[in-house]
Amino acid sequence: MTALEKDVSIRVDEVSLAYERRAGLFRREPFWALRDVSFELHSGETLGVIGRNGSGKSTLLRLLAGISKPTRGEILAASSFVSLLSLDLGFVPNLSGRQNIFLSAMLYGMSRQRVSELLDAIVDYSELGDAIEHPVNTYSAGMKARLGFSIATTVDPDVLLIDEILGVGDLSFRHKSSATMRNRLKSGKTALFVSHSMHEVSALCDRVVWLDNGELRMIGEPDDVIPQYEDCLQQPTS
Amino acid sequence: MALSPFKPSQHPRLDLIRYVAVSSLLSETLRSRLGFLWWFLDPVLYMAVFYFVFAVIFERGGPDFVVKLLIALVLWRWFDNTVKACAGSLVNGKGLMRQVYVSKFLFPLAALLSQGIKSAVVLLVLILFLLVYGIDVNLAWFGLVPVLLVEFLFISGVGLLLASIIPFFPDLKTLIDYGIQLMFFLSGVFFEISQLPPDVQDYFLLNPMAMLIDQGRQVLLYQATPDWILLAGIAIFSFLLAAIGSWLLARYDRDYPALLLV
Repeated sequence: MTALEKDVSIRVDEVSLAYERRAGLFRREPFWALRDVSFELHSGETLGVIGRNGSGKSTLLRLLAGISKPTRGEILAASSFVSLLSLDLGFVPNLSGRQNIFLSAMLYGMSRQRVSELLDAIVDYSELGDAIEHPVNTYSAGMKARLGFSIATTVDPDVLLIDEILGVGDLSFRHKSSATMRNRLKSGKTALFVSHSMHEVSALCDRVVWLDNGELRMIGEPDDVIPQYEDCLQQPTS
Repeated sequence: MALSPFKPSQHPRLDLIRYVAVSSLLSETLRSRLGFLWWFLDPVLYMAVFYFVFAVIFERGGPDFVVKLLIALVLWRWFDNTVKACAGSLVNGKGLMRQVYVSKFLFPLAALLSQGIKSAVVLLVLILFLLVYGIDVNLAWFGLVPVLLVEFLFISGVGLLLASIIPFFPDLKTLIDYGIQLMFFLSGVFFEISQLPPDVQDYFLLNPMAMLIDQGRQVLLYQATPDWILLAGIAIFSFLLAAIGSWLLARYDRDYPALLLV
């Protein structure tokens, strides 16, 4: 192992993923959501992922989280404790906020005991008060997102995968939650951050991966990649 | 640190299975006005339908007909509900399995547990009914334990196998419902297999549920000891089904999310 390799947290090596897509009444054809993508995620860095809708960003996150397996290629990681944050992981709508905290946090990999210990902190952070005993389907979208976010912030994996969720809820909660997330990313957490906000990406990410139609178009410093991506967005899609 | 391919622990976590099973029961119970009462009402109504048709209208069977019918229906319903819940479990869990990595065993095992809890309540009601009805409580009743255990193995085997293959062939679900219906009519719920013409009996003997129902009746009503060889045979067959299902679930663990997308 060379000195450089020590710093690699995840290596994505020529990774492709195909789904089967319906192409007629009985016919199906493969659809390549990702094609021959290679890059490395270094430990301690925040890597941004940008690209148009349907460019394969979420597919990439699911592969890194171990949810699906590459059709071709290989993903090597220093740790299997990689979590994809979500705002409604495993939520059962007619159960209470409290019950959903248990369900959701246990699905992130926590033991029931650990959730009990964290419960008060999660409820406090969410600012939901007594509503925590009410069914989640009586919550507004903002309240639900606050609950999901509060659970997600307690998850502390070796690699954090974030799909767009930085700040949620009303103005004051948005302020608090995005500060929490920023601090985590700035504090040397290894993370992959998918976003459409170029402002956030350049502020938070050390490097950026640009995906285009399932292929890796460019990787590098935010200052190099983002201007080119924005130029490309100006042009009509071909 | 050395790099290696993602290796999830496929061991389903017991605390998670338990929580998911109890949550789904709770969620289901909260959806209706009468809630928990339905756990009793539903099987009682189900049995009432059969009782009305066969005992009242057709005036079938001897003095023990009602008890035999109820024993059979309780054992059958456990199988019927659980196998159907297991068969659809991965399909119903497709949203979740695309959000987070979870061992795919979680889905059928949670279904086995939640349906098991419900069926245990119904079984208790049956035992109470037998006592009220005036059936002799005796030591032979302990024979029910191995019968239930083997039925659980059989349900688990069929459930795991169906859970693992339905995502590959979703259309099978419809065929399976008919298959289960056929099994029901060939399970001797309305009569005793020994009363049928010998050449017809063979069809029934191919159905493990028919044999388990028969064993349940023998043990509860006629103080018989269970037929150990028969039970062992069903147990071995069930292990085989469970082994195939488990192998598929482990083998295609991370292929199911993409498979269920279509």
